[in-house]
Amino acid sequence: MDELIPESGGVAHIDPELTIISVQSTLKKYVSRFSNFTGDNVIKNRIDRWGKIGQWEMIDSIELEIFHLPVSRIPKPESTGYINRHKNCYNGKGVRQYDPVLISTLKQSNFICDVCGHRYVRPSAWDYIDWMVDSGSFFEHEETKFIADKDILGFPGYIEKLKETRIKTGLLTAMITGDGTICGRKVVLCTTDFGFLGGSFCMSTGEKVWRAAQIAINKNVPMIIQTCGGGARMHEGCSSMVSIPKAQLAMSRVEQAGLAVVTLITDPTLGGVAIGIGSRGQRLFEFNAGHIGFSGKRVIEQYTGEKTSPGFQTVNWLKEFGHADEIVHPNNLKEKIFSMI
Amino acid sequence: MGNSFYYPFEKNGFDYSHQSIASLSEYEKYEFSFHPERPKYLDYLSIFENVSSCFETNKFGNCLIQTHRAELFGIPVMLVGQQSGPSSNYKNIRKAMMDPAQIQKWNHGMPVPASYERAVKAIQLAEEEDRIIIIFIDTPGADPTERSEANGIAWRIGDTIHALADVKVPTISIIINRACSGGAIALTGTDTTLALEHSTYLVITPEAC
Repeated sequence: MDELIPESGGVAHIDPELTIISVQSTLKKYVSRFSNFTGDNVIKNRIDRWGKIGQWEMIDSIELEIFHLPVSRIPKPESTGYINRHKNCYNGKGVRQYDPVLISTLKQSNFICDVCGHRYVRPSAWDYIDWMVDSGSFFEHEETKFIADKDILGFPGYIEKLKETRIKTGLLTAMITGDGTICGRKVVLCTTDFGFLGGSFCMSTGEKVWRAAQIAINKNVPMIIQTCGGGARMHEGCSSMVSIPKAQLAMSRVEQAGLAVVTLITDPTLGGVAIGIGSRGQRLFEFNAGHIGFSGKRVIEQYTGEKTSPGFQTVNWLKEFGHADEIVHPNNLKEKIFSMI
Repeated sequence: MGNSFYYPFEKNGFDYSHQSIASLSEYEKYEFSFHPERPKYLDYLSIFENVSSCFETNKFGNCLIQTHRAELFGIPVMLVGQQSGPSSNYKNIRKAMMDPAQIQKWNHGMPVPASYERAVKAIQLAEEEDRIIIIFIDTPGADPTERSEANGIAWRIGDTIHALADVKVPTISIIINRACSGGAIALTGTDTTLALEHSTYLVITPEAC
């Protein structure tokens, strides 16, 4: 907050006129201050201000080496090419299915059970790097690789959770950024890992997007972002959400520099993730992804007292309503993105 | 029933001093921030001159974010305000609460995609007419229904954030009552953010937890 306006006389509902006058004099101050700004000054001032938003820790490379390595969540099949079917698989007639599943079939459906729609796995940020840039071309940015989440609220258990999650995912934060090539063309790539606290959007993500955008501008290359996440990082309170406009401003800067911004929307992309990064760039929707929108299905069903429609918030459902024009299978990602940049 | 609304903790000689308010529970402070008689957006129009509404339609949700051209001490401004209910006059509120059409119209103060579309139009017009944008924030959150999802509420909120990021005029936002989650974040990405002393800013409404 830039300023807290006193509710003169005590409280707004007891003395509304006094509060209203208090608001008027505060607004007058800011409006007068801004009234001489040119368009360029406005943008420069905005970039200055929003670039400073957020807090994070910096860790050193020795600490980073302890856990920092690629972790894939793509299931490895037995030598037969099969993996076990997931539990509680019921067909349309309510009959339970037990037979193992061919990994090649699962890859075709992008890890959605073709009997009941259950999602087997959410790929890691490392998996998306493999899918989206040429093999061996990814190099993490020095400018972002040491940025870590800060426990600004002293949220019970958060630090421990972060430590566990880093080891589990091989990542320092939910988002990782770096340089790569797509069919030989240089890009900046940002990917997010659902395994890292649900991919939740937080201040470190806001800052990484900000710095990655600056790198894209400096190197004159497109920016490619893969989103995922159920919403904002609760452990940061409001601060996580406050970084959402910062991430959007970063993407605007890249676009205004005449560079392509391509966003891949994955499963899930909800809340603070959808309204921030998920609303920007030339958007591609991952084949068979679901849980894409603003409110979660449970919240909606609880509030309305009604079940949502079959296929609610899947890319096919979104496409029906005109919100997901381009749907891409991971096999075709590099080719598709290359055609857009 | 009286002409004024009182929370239980306001009875028994509550003195509204800073100490008394500070010693309320977190939930009571939250309730305090959206006391039905706190001024709402439309109540603040009295501080401006030459106020005229723009982008009014009959579309559902159009009343939940209202937009007005105006001037503040002669400086042209564009007002974008979340109106969380029909009135801050308790008698009028009670009357409206007995009318199903009014209850539906006001949607418990939760904006829908069309509400954000109106905000975006006003932000774009402000740039064309060189008006400083002043945004009043007051919402329990965006509409959590299948219909709003089908109408792309996430992307309409995203559009609003986008419009504010790119607009070439100064932007000011002020939280007057409560600002909950994405429904409010749509409008807080401004060059200056202000808040009333007893307002609240939340990641998610307690009701949704």
